[in-house]
Amino acid sequence: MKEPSSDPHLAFTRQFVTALPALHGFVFSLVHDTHATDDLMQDLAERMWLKFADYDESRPFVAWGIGFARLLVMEWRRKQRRAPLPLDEATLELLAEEAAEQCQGYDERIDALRKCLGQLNDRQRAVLHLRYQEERPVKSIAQQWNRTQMAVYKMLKHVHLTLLDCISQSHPRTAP
Amino acid sequence: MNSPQHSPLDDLATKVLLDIADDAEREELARLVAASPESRRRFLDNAMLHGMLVREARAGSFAPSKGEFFRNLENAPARGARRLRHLLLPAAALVIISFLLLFLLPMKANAALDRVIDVMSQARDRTYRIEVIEAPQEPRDSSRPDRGRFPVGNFLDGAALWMRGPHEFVLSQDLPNGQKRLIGADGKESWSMRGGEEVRVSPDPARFGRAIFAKNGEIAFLDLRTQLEELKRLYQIEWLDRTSSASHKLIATRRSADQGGAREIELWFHPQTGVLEKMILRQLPRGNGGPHSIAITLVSTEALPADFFRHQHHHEPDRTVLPEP
Repeated sequence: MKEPSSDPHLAFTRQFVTALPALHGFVFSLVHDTHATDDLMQDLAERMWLKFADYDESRPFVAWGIGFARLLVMEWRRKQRRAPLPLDEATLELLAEEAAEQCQGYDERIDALRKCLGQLNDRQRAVLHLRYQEERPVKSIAQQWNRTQMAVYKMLKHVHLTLLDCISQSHPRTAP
Repeated sequence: MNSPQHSPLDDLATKVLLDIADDAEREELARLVAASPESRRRFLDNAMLHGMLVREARAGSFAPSKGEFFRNLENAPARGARRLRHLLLPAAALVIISFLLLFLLPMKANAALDRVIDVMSQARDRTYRIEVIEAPQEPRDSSRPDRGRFPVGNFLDGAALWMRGPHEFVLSQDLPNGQKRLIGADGKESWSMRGGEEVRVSPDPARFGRAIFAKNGEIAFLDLRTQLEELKRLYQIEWLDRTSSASHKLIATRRSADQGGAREIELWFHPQTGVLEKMILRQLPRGNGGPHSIAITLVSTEALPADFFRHQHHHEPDRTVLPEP
C-alpha cells in the first residue's frame, strides 16, 4: 500500500527503496549480469516514477514494479546478441512468472540469508568478499590465492549450496 | 556446516552466474531450464541467491572489518543517476531521494562518459605522452609533396601533448633529422614551427590540429573534448572495468563501418575525479598515413605557464612569423 504523503517524491522514494531489493532480485534472476541489472534498475526507477501517478494503492508496490521490470527485461533480452543464458522468449516468460512469485517472500529470505552467513568460516567469507564486494573474476581470485580456477569455483559453489540449504531449512517452501 | 546436496543444474547455474561457463554449458543449462518447472525454480533459487549476495556485498556484509568497509565507502566511485536526479529535482525530497538512489544505483557507461567530458571541458592543464602501439609495416605517404617530408601522423611515438581547454594544445615531436617540431593552438589561432625555421600561424584554431588523422569529419585525437562528445553519437559505449580503484575504463566501439575514426577507443579515467588518464585508439583511419593504434597517457596535471599555448612562448622574440590567410 502506498503510504499517505502529500509529497509524491517522498512517497515514491519510500516505496521504491523498500521494494528495491526484491525488484533487483527479480531483474537479476532474469538478466544474470550485475552491471546490466544496475542499468536496468535505473531505467526501472525512471519508468515507475513517470507512471507513479497511475499507481493503484490497492496493489502491492513490488508487484506493480515487477510489471515494469518484466517488460524492461524482455526489451533488454531482445537487444542482446549474446545473453548469459540463451533462453527463448517463451521460457523467459515462464521464468519471469516464477521469479515474480519468488519475490513475494524476498524479505524473509534475505533475513534468513543474513543468519546463514554467520555460519560461514573465515575462508568462505573471504571468497564472498573477493567475488561480490570487490567484484573480482574467479580467475583473479585463483591467481591471488595461488589456486586453480576450478578450485575457486568449487569453493564458491560449495558456499552457494550451503547457503541455499540453510535458507531452505529456515523457509521450507524454497531456498531464496 | 554439512556438505550440501547438489544437482547438475546447480553446477551449470553456478558456472553461468560466475561467468565461467562455456557455450555448451550455457546451452545445456538453457535446455534444462526450459524442460520443467522444478528446474526453473531451482535455477531461480541459484540466481536469486547470487543477486542477494551482490546486494549484501554492497552493504559491506563480507568486509573483513568495519574499518575496511568504511574505507571502501570512502573510496567508492561517485554513483550518478543523472536522469533520475533530473526527474526528481523540484521536490523538497530531493536530498533524500538523491542520496538514496545515487548510493544504491551505480553509474551507467554514458553517464560516466558525460562526467569525463565535463572534466575535460574545464580549463585544466594536462600533459600527455603519446605512444604508438601498432605502426604500419611501411609508413606510407612520406613522399607526398603536399604533406611535406615529415607527415605529422608518422612521427607520433614518444611525442608530448599539452592541453588546457578546447582548441588549446601543444604537440611536440622529434623528427628523424634531429629537429623538434611544435604544433599548437591557443584557442584563437593555431601555429606550427620546426627547428629554428619560421613560425606559421593561422587564424583558424583547428588548422594545424587537422593535420593529424582528421579527414572528412573524422575524429581528430587532438581535440579530445570534441572527440569525446562525438563518441556518444557515433560509438557504442560500454564499461570495460569499473571495479578497479586505480582507473575505471570505458570501451567505445564504432557503430558503423561507414563512419570514420578509430574502430575502437578505450578510455581510462580516475574513479573520483573523472580526469582522463589514458586513451587508446585502435585501428585508426589511415587516409593521412600514421599508425594503426596509439595510446595517449596522462603524465601530469601540473599548471603550465599562462602563455604556454601561444607560439611566442616557444621561440625567441625575433623569430620570423608567417601568417596564413
